[in-house]
Amino acid sequence: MNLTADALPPLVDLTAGEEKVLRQTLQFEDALPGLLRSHAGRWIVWLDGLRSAHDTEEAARAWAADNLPIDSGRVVVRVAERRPVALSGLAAFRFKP
Amino acid sequence: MGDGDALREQGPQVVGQLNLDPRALATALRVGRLTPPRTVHLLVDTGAAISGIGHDIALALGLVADELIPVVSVTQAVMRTPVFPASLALWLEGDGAPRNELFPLRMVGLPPSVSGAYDGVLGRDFLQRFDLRYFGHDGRFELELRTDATA
Repeated sequence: MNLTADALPPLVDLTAGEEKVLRQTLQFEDALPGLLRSHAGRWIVWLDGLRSAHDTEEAARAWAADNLPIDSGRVVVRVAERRPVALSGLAAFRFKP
Repeated sequence: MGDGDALREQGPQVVGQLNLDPRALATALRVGRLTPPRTVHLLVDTGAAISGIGHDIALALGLVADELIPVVSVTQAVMRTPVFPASLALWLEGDGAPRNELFPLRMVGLPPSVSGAYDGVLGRDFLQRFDLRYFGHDGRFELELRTDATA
């Protein structure tokens, strides 16, 4: 699946702050193949590169809160394969357009 | 219309208090910039892999996105939406004294509600902490916190 910004339109109208988070998310996804080799399953903080890695979501969020401005666009994310998440069980069916 | 009719028509809903995630809540409290929680009606939706809240509600509460994930909707369109760390306070009854318990959760931003019947959904990521019993004849349901689940 192509996870580039052009391929995936936003579901909601993004704020300027969320646009920053989107840019960092796309950077993270570009780096994901390498991160899967080195940090699979860990929670990381990403801001223009890997900032820190943790065993739990709570620890990653705590590090981000203590070290980076909340409006920096930093990403707190688990290093795992990216697949679309179903918002409904009906997503499994092909509806006529 | 009795309560049972409403439940059958609108589906099982949980009413709770939505707010910042516990860490952000503690920080806001420390600096005296606490946002009041918002009462939300959330549909119990076992078809949803992840919980979600109206994007406008998330922004009004001051929730800050952690990332933007790809999601697939009922039309099979794959799109991106922000993920917000948040906390949901629920009133728990049953064994022992009734208590208010705070659950951290991640919620994706959803488009505006068409019906206004509820503010968001509780998906399987949140519901895995509970056992669910649904009484279809009158629409009642029970969520029981699993003894091996942590809030």
